[in-house]
Amino acid sequence: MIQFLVYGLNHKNCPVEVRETLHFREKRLPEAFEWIRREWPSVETLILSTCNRVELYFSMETGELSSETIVRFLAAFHGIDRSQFEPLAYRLEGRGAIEHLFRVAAGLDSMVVGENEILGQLREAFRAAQEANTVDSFLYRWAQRALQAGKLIRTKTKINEGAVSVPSVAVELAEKIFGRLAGEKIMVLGTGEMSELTLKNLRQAGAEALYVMSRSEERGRSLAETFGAHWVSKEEWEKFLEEIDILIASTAAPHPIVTLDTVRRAMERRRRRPLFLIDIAVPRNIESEINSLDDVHLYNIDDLQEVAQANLRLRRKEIRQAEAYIQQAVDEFQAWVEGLEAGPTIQLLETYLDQLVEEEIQRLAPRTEEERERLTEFGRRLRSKFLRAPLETLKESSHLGSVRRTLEALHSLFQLRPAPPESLDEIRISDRDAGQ
Amino acid sequence: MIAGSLYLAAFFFHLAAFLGAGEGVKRWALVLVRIGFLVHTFFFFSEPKTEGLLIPISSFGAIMAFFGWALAFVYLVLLARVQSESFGLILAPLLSLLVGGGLLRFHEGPTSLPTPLNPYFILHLGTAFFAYASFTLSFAASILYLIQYRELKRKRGGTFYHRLPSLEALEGLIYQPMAWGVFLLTTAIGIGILWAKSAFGTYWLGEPKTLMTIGVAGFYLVLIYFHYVAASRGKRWVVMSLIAFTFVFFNFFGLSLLGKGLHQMFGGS
Repeated sequence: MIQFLVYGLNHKNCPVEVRETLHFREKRLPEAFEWIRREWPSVETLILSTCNRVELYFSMETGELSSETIVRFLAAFHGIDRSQFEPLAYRLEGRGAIEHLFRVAAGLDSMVVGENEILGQLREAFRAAQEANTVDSFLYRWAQRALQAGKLIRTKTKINEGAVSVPSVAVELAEKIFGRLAGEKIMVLGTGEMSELTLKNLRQAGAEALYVMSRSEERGRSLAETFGAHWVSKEEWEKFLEEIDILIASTAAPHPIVTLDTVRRAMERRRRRPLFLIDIAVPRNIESEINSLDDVHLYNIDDLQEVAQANLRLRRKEIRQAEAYIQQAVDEFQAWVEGLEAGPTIQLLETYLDQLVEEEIQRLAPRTEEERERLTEFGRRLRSKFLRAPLETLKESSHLGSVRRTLEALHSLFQLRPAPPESLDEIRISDRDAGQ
Repeated sequence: MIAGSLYLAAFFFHLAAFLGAGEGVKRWALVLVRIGFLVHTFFFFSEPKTEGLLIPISSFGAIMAFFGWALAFVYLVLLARVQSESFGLILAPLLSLLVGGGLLRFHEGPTSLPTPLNPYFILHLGTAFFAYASFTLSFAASILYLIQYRELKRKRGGTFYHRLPSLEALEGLIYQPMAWGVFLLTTAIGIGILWAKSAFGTYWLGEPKTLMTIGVAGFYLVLIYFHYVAASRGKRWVVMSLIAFTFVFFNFFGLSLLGKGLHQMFGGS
């Protein structure tokens, strides 16, 4: 019987302090895989280790893999006490395990629903496992189908639509104002961590950092240098307002430093070219009345967070549709697995019937070739009619997830001998070839 | 009727896509508009011949249907590169209405214009209708711009915010048809003057609609100057383009329905 198993910890019930102690660094992955190959040679394994989860995916055709064994491996490999993580870990088996990987790939198990990063991380984990030769047909197919489902769900639903973090919302808004960013000029007031992150995101999207204003010349120049911008003093930044398209404000000033009059004057000089102001400072750096000016779009930290929340709500609306795709993909995968399990039994049943028919034909001892052909045809039809009902039942139970019981019943009713050991391997090889 | 139904179906598909029905529905909406346009084109070329005309202008309904065809042509052919899905939501029901209107009074009596088959006349009519169609598309983009602008000011991140293109893209969608429209309208005026000479022996008939059309073309030229040469942008320019369209509307429908002279839509003088 093919088994599927997940053992791991994630952001939902395990604090980051614990997750980071269990994290598999890229450098140490080969060592981990080496250990797994040595200790569990018949188990297929994939390690998914990200900042939000550490999960081990297993599939095996025979034998058992107890939680105790896995816990001992994790504790020994990372050199930590098992009591630190064991109570927080989860173990999923069978359909639950299969479904879990599909949900992870779809981003439904992520901290930010629908995020895209996990799909890349899973792809990378799959690649690493392939390189380490710890995935064979079952886990190979499982991960492959999960990746396909993750991609399909992102295409068919809007689960990954809309930015959900402050820096990415800033980029999304800039793109809603200026279209695809292509050299839009940015000025940064202040050198806070969030403003640097927002600037980084905007630059990655295609905007260009032009000026950095900071009270500390040294810090300002350093940040400006990092992003290829110019440092400007707090006395002269206003005159550059007409040149830029996006302003990020995050100074520690206790009162607004960007005033309505300043922006109004700048807008006249800019000939109404749109201006996007991002105020991520607390207390605010930009007077809120500025948003009433035509073609000026002012977003403070609360506004950005509100857009992020609205986007998140939109994503959540898509969850039901994504779940439906997952159920369909899991059903298909399970049907494939059960088909594999049913294959040898069907083969045995067919052989059993062929033998019966052949014996009966021999007993009747046909005199002519014509008579023999007629009896063979009769036997073929009888065999086909006899097989129809059990095959349909098998198909049905494969959809219902109860194929194993049906197989057991067939074995017991017809006293079928166990499946030849090489049959599954044959299916496995042909399936692997088809996948490539 | 078939074309009208296809446009109407396209509208519902656009609406479903807008409400989040997915990419497939959006593609189907555009396919339906295209098929509707092909059907529309077939009837457009077959109907007027039965009335002894090259362009169907024998009734207000026919003019509406012709205008609808010109609108679909400008959108699907001339502006193929700058097409936006959000246009479909406005354009599809408008096309359906125009074609539906065309059905009501398509078979009125023949026009009493002196030389309806004169090539100058045909060209004058064609360029003028395409110009109005271009201005209508520019107007639709202006409406979408103001909706997106409002969404950005409201800071809620609603459906329109997600579905509509950026302000920059919408500004392009206002400007491009506008530039096409000005070019076509100026051409229509020039050809109209030549037609007046060949049909009536004078270049200048002093029609109120001619004067108004020159005014409309001038207004749009100023807008184009401000946008392209003086780099004037933003909401104010968009609002000005909306005002310009009210003159187009009055010129096309107001003066044509109420006015006297050659540009009167029914029968003519």
